Amino acid sequence: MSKLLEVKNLKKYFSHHHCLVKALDEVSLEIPHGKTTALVGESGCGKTTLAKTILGFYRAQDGSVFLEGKNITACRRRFLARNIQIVFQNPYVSVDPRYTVYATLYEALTVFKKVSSQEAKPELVNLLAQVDLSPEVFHRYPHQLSGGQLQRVCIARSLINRPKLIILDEPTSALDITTTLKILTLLKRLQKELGVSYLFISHNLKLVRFMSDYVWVMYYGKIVEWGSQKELFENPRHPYTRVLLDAAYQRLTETASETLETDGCRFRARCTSRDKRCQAEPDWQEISSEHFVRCHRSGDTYV
Amino acid sequence: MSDIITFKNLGIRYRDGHKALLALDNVTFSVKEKEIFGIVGESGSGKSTLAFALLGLLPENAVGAGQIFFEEKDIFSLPESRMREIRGRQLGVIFQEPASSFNPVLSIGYQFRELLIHKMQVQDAAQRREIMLSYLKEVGLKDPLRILDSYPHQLSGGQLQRVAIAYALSLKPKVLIADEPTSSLDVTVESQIINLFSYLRDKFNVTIIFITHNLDLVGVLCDRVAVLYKGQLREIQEPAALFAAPKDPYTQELIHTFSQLTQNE
Repeated sequence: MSKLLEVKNLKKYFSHHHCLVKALDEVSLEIPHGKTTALVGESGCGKTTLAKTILGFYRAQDGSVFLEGKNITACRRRFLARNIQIVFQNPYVSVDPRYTVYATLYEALTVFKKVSSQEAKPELVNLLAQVDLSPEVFHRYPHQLSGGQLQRVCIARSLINRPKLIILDEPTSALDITTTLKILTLLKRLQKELGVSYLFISHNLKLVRFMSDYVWVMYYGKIVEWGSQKELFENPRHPYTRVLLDAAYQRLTETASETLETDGCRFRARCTSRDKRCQAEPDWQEISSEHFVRCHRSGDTYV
Repeated sequence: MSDIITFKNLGIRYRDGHKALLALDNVTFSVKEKEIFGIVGESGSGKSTLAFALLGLLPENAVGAGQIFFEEKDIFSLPESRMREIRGRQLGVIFQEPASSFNPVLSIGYQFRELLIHKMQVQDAAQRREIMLSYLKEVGLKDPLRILDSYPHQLSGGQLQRVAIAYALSLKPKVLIADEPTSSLDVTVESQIINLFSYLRDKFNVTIIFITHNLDLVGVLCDRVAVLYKGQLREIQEPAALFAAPKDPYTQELIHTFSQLTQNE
């Protein structure tokens, strides 16, 4: 797979009540061209921190981000915004409530282009058509639109300067199941038409299965497993991945404890199959060329 | 088992200027004692309106018609002063967003004490403490002493939702109304809370009305499910039958959408 974005050994630590929180602890990740890469994990595991660091909202303590081979870690926001965009979870707080849809989109367009409001109109009409909205919504305010309609506006806004990568941070968590399906189908269609790549952040593995080509699993600042969608869902090897899958498919899950280990395998407090080896930090084990896991017991067979 | 709650020809409209928005349209059904009864529908289907009507918490611009029987007594027409005796004590409730169910500047223990003093008239401090600790343990919180001294922002969403369930149960309600109780939680926490509900029904013999838009949860948790669409009751079934053979066209579409998302490609 040709790489669009590569994250190498990214570190982002926060201090919180005199403790060091390792939100990203040497995270490495690859995003291929024109595909959907999913990043999954529970809240607080660092998914959004990674997204914000890629976007340049946070400066990492260490590590680098490469876009098509170019190191963009220290690039200005303006350059990053042209290439990487984001769609947030809650559309109502991602747009200015006092801007009409037209004003919201026009503002985004003029970041990189000098056009008058009149000249912009045909382009914005086209843009709305791409997300299946009619120009009637141009003069509406956010509160006059449904969650699904407003999320389409946010998707349109993210597409405006033809970015190479769009980060979708739980884009449907605030929406109904029927609207979710429509939005995800729209995103898939746009990917086919425009060749844009997605980083799909979610904790809902059912949606991940529907959307993604590759899946990366994150647990408290560490990537613990990654693989192609098929491999990861059919042959999950990390116990944490299996906990997430069990929860998504409503199978009863264990949790040994909720305490968090700060050294060795961080998952071991919650792991039902831990042993002595788990006190040491596990290294990557290759399951296949498109499936890697960080678990001492990955060689063991599971029932 | 006998019916504990019966909605009879319940209709609710919201006045908005000169228009009236129909939220519930002539809804009639019953919930049996000790049942876990699911109510599913999209946003705007009227599921929360139904819960608010049952709890007597409809906003001022709501106009209602019909009756709601709780243990054969019509509670829909009761004045607020009488409703206050029923709400909480007889009909417990758990909301979607646990963080907004608490006062952020008072500790969990302080709020729990207030509840027991005012709603349950438990005046003895030692007895109160025992009750608080036992309910916190019952909902699966491992360190109840620390929880009592915590403030809401110091707990996770899952822990707070467990505390909210403990508060509700401590008033020994006959019916527990849970309005999207897991929508703002992680999948792993969600499955734990779902398991907790089944356990609590058996342990405390409480009837649970579970409102959600997630069909998955209904399948594992509920005894019967009602499907609401634009204020109308479309169908009531056992979940297995609902998934296997939905009768109503809207339910068929909902189940179809759902299976598209959950099966791969």
